[in-house]
Formats: sequence, C-alpha cells, structure tokens
Amino acid sequence: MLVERNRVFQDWIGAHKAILFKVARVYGATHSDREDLFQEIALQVWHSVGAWRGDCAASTWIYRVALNTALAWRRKERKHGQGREDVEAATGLLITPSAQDPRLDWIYERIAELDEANRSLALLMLDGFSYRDMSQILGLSESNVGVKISRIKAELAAQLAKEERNGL
Amino acid sequence: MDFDQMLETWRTQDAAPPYEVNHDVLRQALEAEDARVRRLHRFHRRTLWFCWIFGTGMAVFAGFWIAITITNGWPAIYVITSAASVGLFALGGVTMWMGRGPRAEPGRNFGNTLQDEVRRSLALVDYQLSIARHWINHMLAAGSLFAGSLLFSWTINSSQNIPDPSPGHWWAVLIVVFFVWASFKDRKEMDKTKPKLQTRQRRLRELLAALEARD
Repeated sequence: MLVERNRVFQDWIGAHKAILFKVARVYGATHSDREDLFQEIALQVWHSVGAWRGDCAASTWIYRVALNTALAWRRKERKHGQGREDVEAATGLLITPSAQDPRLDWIYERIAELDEANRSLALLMLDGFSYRDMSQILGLSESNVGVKISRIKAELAAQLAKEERNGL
Repeated sequence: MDFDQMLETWRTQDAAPPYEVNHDVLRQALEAEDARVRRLHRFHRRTLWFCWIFGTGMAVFAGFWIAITITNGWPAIYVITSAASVGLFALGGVTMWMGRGPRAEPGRNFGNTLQDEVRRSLALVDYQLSIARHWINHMLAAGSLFAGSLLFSWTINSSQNIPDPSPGHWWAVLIVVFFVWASFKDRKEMDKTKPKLQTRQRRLRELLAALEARD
C-alpha cells in the first residue's frame, strides 16, 4: 500500500512538479516561504494519493490539492508573518538555477498583484485549462470563470502595454 | 512582449522548471510524515488491543468466578462484587471503544471541486484531531479496569482467605502504570501536533466559508 502510494507520488512529482513550483512561487513571497509551501503541498499530495479515483486528470487533481494547500497556507502567513524578511534558513529543498528569465519574473510579479482567488485563475489560465476544468477545480460556474478570466486578461494586457514602453 | 509571447514564456517552465527538487530533503520530509502517522496509529492500535484482551479475559474470569461462587454456595456478596467487576471491565471496554475515533481516514467519496478538496482536507484534520480528543477516554478506561481489577482481586482474596497484597493487586498496579504511561505518551505526541492541526482546521474552515460565500 505504502510502496504503491510512494510510487504514484514519485510518478506525479516527476511529471507534474512544475505545478508545485508555480503554485509555491505564486503564493510564497520569499524563497524559504516557497520551500515551506512546496513541502506542505508535496505532503498533502502524498496524503491525497489514496483519495484519487482517476475520475479526473492527475494534473487537475494535483492543481486542486496544491491550490487548496496554498490558499490555506497563505492565510497562516498573513496572520502570523506577512511581510517578514526571508531570514529563516532555507531547507535546501528547492535548488534555484543561477539564471532566471526576467520575463518570467515579471509575469510572477503581476500574478502576485492579483487577489488570492484570481491568482488561482491566472495560474490555470496560463497553463491552458479550459473554463470547464477551471470551474470544476475552483467550484465556480463557467460563466463566472469567463467573466473573471476576461478581467484578468484585460489587466495583464494593460500591464503589458504599460511595460512595453520599458522594452520588456 | 505581447499576450501570446507571455503564454509562450510561461510554458518554458514546463520544459525547464525554475527550480530543481532536492529529492533527499523531500524523501526525508515524507519519511518523517509517514513515520509520524504510523507511530500514532500503531500506538492507538496496541493500546486498544491490550484493553480488549485484558478486559475480556478478566470479564470472562469474573463470570467464571460467579459460577463457582454459586455452585459452591459461597456468600452472595462475592457474586455481587464479581458481577460489579464484570460491569467495570465492560465499562472500560466501552469507554475505550468510544475513544477509539474513526476507524479509517475519511475522504474517499468526495467530489472534484476545490471546495470538495477543502472538505476532504478538513475531514482529514478532524479525524486526526479526533484521536487527540479522546485521550481522556483512555484515562477513564484505565480507571474502570483498575477499579474492576481491585474489586475482583478483593473478591478472590476474601473468598479464598489469601492475605494481601496478592497477585491481583499487582495486576491492578500494572494496569495503572500502563495506562498512565500510554496516556502520557499519547498526550506528549498530541501536544506537538495539536496546535498545528487546530491552526490548519481553522484556516480550512475559513477558506471553505470564503469559497462558499463567493458562490
């Protein structure tokens, strides 16, 4: 049972670790926050393996677990230490490459400016989920998703236009 | 950068993730979590089994003693005290049963939305907290078994003219030592995890309320 759970978990992490990275980066303000959140998400995904019945794609399931964990985790951070410095020693769980694409940093900065629920939608939108999938994951109606996505897109487009002058 | 280029930039992460995972650290975290959950379940299972076996054995023995007392025509007080012992052993078993918590982790029949996922997580936390909540039942069960053992020991000693302290008394002491140790260990473990679980439970409830209010 445990061997099977670990095997599935390893497969999931291998195939979908980018989801965990993205969610951790969007909801974690500092590197140690991201490591903490990544570990928390990984543990929750590991716990959730037995509950997955295969009635949705593994990526959808992992996204849902990751977003749930991140939203709950974010609330804790807000209450107990929002804005704190990244002074805690990093665990070494996440290894950052030396060079990062500045355009990617810019996208993450813009997403971080959205409210929590819209951040989830922005992540799903950028990862190409359909309105139907988004509505299933977030428990919103498809029309509501459509309205919110249109606003997010408009907001991002306005930011892009603004930054274009700076030569991004 | 236009919108399409932004999407393209975003997708580069799938091919070249912005981080690498240190699998040794991740494995250690998972092993620690697994060990914690297993340790907790194993401990509760063992305590429960000890209680069942000892309580049932003593209750059967006390029932047997009632039969012997009636057959030999010994004073009725021994039947009453033996019957009271059976009652106390049964009470210990029932108290333990009530304090055992859910038998299996919940969360196997939940749907697919984020709310369902939050509910699943909340159910899991409730389940983990339910184990923490029932330590008092262990103490009550210990008290019942201790009183039952002491009473039954007195019944045998008095009817057979055995001087105190008898092996029955040592049994009673052994039970108390076991349950005090078990409850202390249980409490110590829970003291470490309970605040974290309660914080998580509160956050999940807030999140669920916010998600439901949004709809």
